[in-house]
Amino acid sequence: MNAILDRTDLEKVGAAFTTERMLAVRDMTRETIHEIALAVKPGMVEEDAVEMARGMLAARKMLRGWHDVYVRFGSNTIKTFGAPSEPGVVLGENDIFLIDIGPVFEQWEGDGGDTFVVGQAPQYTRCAEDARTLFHLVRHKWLADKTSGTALYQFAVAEAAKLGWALNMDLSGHRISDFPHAAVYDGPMADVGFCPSPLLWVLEIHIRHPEQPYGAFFEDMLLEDRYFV
Amino acid sequence: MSGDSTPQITPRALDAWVVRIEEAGPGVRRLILRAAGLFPYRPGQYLSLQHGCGPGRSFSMATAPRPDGLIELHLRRHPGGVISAALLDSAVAGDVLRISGPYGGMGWCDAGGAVAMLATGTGIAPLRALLEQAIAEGSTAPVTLYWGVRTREQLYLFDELDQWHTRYPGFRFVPVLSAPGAGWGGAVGHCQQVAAGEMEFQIFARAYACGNPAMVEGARRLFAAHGLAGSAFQADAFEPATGAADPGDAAAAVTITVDGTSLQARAGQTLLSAIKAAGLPVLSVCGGRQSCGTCLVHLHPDAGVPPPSVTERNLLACLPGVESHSRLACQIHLSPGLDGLHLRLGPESAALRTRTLFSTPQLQGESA
Repeated sequence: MNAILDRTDLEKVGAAFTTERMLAVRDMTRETIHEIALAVKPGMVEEDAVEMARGMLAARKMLRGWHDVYVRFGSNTIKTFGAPSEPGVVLGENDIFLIDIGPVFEQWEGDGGDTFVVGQAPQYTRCAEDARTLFHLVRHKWLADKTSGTALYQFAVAEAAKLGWALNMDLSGHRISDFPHAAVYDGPMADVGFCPSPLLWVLEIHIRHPEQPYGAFFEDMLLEDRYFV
Repeated sequence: MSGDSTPQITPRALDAWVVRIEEAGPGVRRLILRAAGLFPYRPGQYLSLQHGCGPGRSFSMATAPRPDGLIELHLRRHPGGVISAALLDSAVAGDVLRISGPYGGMGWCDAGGAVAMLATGTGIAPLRALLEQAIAEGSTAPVTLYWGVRTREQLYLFDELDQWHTRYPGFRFVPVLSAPGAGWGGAVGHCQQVAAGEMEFQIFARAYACGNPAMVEGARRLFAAHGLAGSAFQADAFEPATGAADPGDAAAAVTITVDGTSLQARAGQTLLSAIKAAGLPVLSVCGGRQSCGTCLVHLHPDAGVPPPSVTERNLLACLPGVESHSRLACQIHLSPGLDGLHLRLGPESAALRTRTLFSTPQLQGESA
């Protein structure tokens, strides 16, 4: 498949693309994720948290999204992208939740995700931390070895297994650009046989416990170390 | 189908996810869906189901509305039935379908007197939903259910219905086989014939018939001959693989005009899927989840489209190029009432026609 996924075609951008604007929207996206996370409290119903998140995005003029807004509580953290959550899940006192947003600010796409833990739940904390750890492990592999998208996710699967998690390959990276990247390439990064360029792709790590119903998610742009201080 | 005086529920269109598909019996599967939002209906009603960009097809809800919100449909494979074949062969848990409804005026009514219910095949589904409502309402009307199929194996709800008298004391279940094998000691023939035989000594005040059109028509004539007509006889007749012939039928043709181009669509489709199916340039980045706004269209002021949801309205408020009658094509569910709809594609779809925007970037900073 990689022979037809030519880098020149798949890494095109639109007329509005600039490094500065893409990075600015990336920062806005990550700030919003953390703002949402701070407002999520035990006792909330997941659907209310999603509506709250929409409100916060609207206040930042980022309600428009290239994908839907996901705030998932507890056992819903194992749901794959696009799958509906089990309704009515209430965040417990010692619980885990993830956020995944893909806002469009003016002409530029953001995309990011992270996982948070409330109360005391060491198994959840380890899961959330491992999602971040895996993200950076894979990113460092990309930096050091100029690894292809396909090889990066083979590496990610193996590293997740070493930590005791199953990696969800439904969420295996994708393009990001001035809106809409889908007009260029809407497939997974795991399908590309070349080394993805910085600023043009996001790396997604969605892990779950092999038996128990919880998982964690971390997603951000593929960028060099200086952007993760 | 006959209506009753119960207030109608306004049909709506929304996504639904396949929760599971279970084998119910030979050639019949039980499809369990979860709608993406509220989907109220009355027992006895049906919905239109669309798989991909194909035509819609009607299926009755097989239970009264459930506390967990799940929707149960019974699907039987029909030769040449595009929808049922696609669902039976390829749908898996997590697949997204499009549903619209509820449709149909059939509903439970306990106005005194005995009730006859006649079903063939999966026509049992809406009658089961009506019976659940009867139990929930504490109805005491005697009910005789005649369920006709060819063979014993096709009585896929036999064990359940055979015990319903413990839940509903006035309930009597009469399975009817048209091709019984050895050892069958029950009724034989067609269910309307068996009902006719019993009407020699049984008086019914109301009747319901669902399933094969020939059975439904035979039952209609039978009960009319016994003085049971009008609202006392309610029926849904589903033609195999074509859907019901009701004006609200999901398979009805709808003509729409997009930027001056006339195209044929089917009721039950979203406007977005109709435009896509016609090969016109329309984007839908978020997959119809009213998030991206790329399927924006501008309608004629007199289009008569139901108003947008709060979520759609909020998104429209922040999209570029929105006019006073702009809508998201993914949120407009085509119905016969929208026949003749005129619209223009929004700016992002229109830009697709001449898109030369994308180029290879000159990136700043170091590269990997």
